[in-house]
Amino acid sequence: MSKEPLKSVCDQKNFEEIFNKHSQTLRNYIYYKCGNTQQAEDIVQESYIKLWDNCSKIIFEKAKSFLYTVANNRFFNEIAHKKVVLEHQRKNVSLDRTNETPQFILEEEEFYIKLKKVIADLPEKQREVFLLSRIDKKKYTEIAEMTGLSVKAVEKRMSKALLIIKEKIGKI
Amino acid sequence: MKQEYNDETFLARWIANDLSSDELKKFKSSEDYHQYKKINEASQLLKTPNYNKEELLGKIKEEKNTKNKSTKVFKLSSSWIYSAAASIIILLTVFYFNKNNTSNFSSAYGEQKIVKLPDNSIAFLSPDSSIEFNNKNWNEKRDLVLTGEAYFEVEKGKHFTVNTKQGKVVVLGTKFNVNASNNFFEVQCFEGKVKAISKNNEQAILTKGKAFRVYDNKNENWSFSKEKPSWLNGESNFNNTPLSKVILTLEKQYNLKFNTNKIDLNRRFTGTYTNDNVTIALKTVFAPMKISFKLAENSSVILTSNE
Repeated sequence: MSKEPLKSVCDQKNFEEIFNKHSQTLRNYIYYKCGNTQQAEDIVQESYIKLWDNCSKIIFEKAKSFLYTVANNRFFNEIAHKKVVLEHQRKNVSLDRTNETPQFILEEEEFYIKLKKVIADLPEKQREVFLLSRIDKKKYTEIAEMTGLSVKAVEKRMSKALLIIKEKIGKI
Repeated sequence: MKQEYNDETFLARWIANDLSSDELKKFKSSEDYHQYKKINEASQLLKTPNYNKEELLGKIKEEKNTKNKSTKVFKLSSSWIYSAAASIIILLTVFYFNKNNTSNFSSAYGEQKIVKLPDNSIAFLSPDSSIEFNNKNWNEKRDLVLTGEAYFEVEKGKHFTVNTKQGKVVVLGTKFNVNASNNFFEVQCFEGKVKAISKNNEQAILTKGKAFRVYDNKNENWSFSKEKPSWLNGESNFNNTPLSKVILTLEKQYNLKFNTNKIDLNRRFTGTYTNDNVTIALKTVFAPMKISFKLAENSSVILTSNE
């Protein structure tokens, strides 16, 4: 049995801890679905307000799954789906030290443009799994918990996503 | 030619580093491997548009506060409404002072409740229990009345007293569980030091891991090693507890009524039952006691001894 004392979600400190721990991934998750940061952040806000309203009924350890359930339900009501717009980090932060040729850098840049387009075109189901895994570095078990799928289903979607990306990048 | 990695989860397992060395070796020698590798490496460098966490938390706090403060505004159009409003206010004030700022919280059958007291101490109510305390002078006098069972995590400060019909518990700042019902008074200390005083003036000073009980005017002391009460984790745990009290918790947890005419209620039960499955719970309690149970038409449970 854990030695930690029970934490109340109504406690401001604990509430903020839950916010800091989960809000970014929750926001990204909704963003991967709808492609609209404003909408995603509105849903995050609503989910946390709802958590606060029910704080006395929810134990600390269950807060995360409560948030995802609220957000998932809320999302069904949203209609507008836009395409995901992603950015990317440069591999070499200090450009003066790179020994890559301009040609190579240009090709890299083109590859990223293709990759982002292909990901944006992915079906929502595969896109959210793929990006939760690669950008938010979530394990399949965690993604399964968030989406309400089985781990096996998450793995299938992940594989499918990779397969599609590879094929489409090859074609362009 | 169909390639082996086209099985439904192969690529996912590769990403998770979950392939056998054989599989990985084969995959690495395939012509697609480099392309997948590149996609994987590149996609890990992707990022989402900027996220301003602090700003969003600020918005949530703001909405929380406006919700707490929100009051209804009525438009008053004529003088009789004013007088009506005034009398309502007077009535409310009288009511308010009569009630003397008493707060009352209770949990229903099968429900647990967490109550935060004015000084941030926390009370966890077990099913069908209630606490009552005075909100106004809480900081001078930390005194509350408990019916049923509750676990307390008390902030350090002045004396904190839990009063029950069966006795009281006095502490300074600590964690403890109190269970009081007819003829039964049980206190378990999980941290710090507590003083338990039963209604017939039996006293016990308990430290961490010590428990004290008065049942039918007889005292019992014992030790335990749990860190917090098991009922908080969906189980009810008993140590040599009178069967009548075990049955009482079952009634509260599952909203049942028992017919106990045919069994000996003074027998003792040691063990644990689950709080989410009534059939399993009944089996775990009654099978070892050699008692069979049967659901009667009026939804009460009839218990019969097999001995």
